[in-house]
Amino acid sequence: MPKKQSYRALQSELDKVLTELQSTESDIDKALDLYKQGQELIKQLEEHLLTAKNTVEHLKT
Amino acid sequence: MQELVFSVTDFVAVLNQTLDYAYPIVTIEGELTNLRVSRGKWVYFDIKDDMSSVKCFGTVYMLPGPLEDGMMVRITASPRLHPLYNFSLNLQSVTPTGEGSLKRAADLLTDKLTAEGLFDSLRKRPLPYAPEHVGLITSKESAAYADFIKILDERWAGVKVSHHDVQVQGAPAVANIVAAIETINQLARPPEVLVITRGGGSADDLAAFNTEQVIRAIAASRIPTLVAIGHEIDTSLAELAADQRASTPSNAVQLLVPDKLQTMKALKEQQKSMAELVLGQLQATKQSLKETSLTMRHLIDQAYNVAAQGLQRQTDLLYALNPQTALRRGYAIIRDNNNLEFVKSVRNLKIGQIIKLELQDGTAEATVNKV
Repeated sequence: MPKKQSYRALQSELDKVLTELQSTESDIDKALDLYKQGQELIKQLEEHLLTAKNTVEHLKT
Repeated sequence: MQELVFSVTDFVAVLNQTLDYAYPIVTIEGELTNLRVSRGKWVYFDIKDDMSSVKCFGTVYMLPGPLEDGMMVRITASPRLHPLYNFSLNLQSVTPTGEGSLKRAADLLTDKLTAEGLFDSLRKRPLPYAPEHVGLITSKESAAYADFIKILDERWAGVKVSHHDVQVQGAPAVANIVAAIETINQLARPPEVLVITRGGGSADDLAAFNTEQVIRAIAASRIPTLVAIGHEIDTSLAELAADQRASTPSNAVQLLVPDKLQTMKALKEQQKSMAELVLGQLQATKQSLKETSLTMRHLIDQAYNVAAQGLQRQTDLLYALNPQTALRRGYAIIRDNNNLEFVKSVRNLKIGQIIKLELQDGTAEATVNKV
């Protein structure tokens, strides 16, 4: 099973997809493919925000 | 009973033993006078009140920052009788007390550290936004800790907090905070940002955050720092030394991470605009296909017209060249009656020769009478 990506990594991938999507005006196949990727990334980002927990470790000097 | 006679050295040793047993550490509050620093390392001063004055001795490293005569201070020290230099209090810590002295001490320290450039805006590093790993230095029992964790849980998800418990006030506070900053800086996987925080309190309570040791430790941190001391009016020097300050622990969280509800909303917007973008592209492609189809239709029509016109011209030509057309206009074709060859010249005709005439509606025979 692939390692779960961090929120930041997912967000950065989504930014890339959006930028690419804005520059593929004539290639509809590519645009549809990027749209699918973007939808999947947004789903994962939402899932992260809804399910990920903050954790605390206690350090000692 | 035999009189007890000490040597001087024995007396000093016995008295120090007694002091060690009865008063290993004492805390005294009084006015600081005759302050003197020798060779940049040794500190001497007297602590006094209206009736008494006692000598104190220590190193500059235990001072909270620059001090001056007339300040009220609280010291912790071990009483000692020195074999040569008489009685003194060997200092362990010195803290200015009372609003006036605290402010004066902070002013002196501010001047010194400002001159060194420790508070320069050029030194400030940007903090990572939405860090995945945060260092947190505060008292575990404090409201500041509870607030920080609570607001972090409300606002964001998936953050690892490496917390170091410290006393944020009282005698151990300074050493605790400095050690915690160093510990977190030395972690094999250090956090992306270091938050040092506590709730509000009196000037005395916040004194640790105006000490030279804590300020220098914050300024020396390799991890970018965010200092949040829960008071709005005065700024502690620790906050000035930090890369960024926040007014409260909750405000620190707000500066570090976005609000997840807002972010979810923004994601929905992104989803919508992405769909609109692709839909727009689909419509543009559809429109372009429609235009291509119209252009093709136009080109086919044009080709058909050209072909039709050409055909018409050929038809007209064919019509014009058809011998029948000439016959209809009154011309006749003359053939030899024997071999049916065209007679194209009178030289081929003889008197009495029978010729065949071809007219538009039939044929007739005739005899040549004259050539």
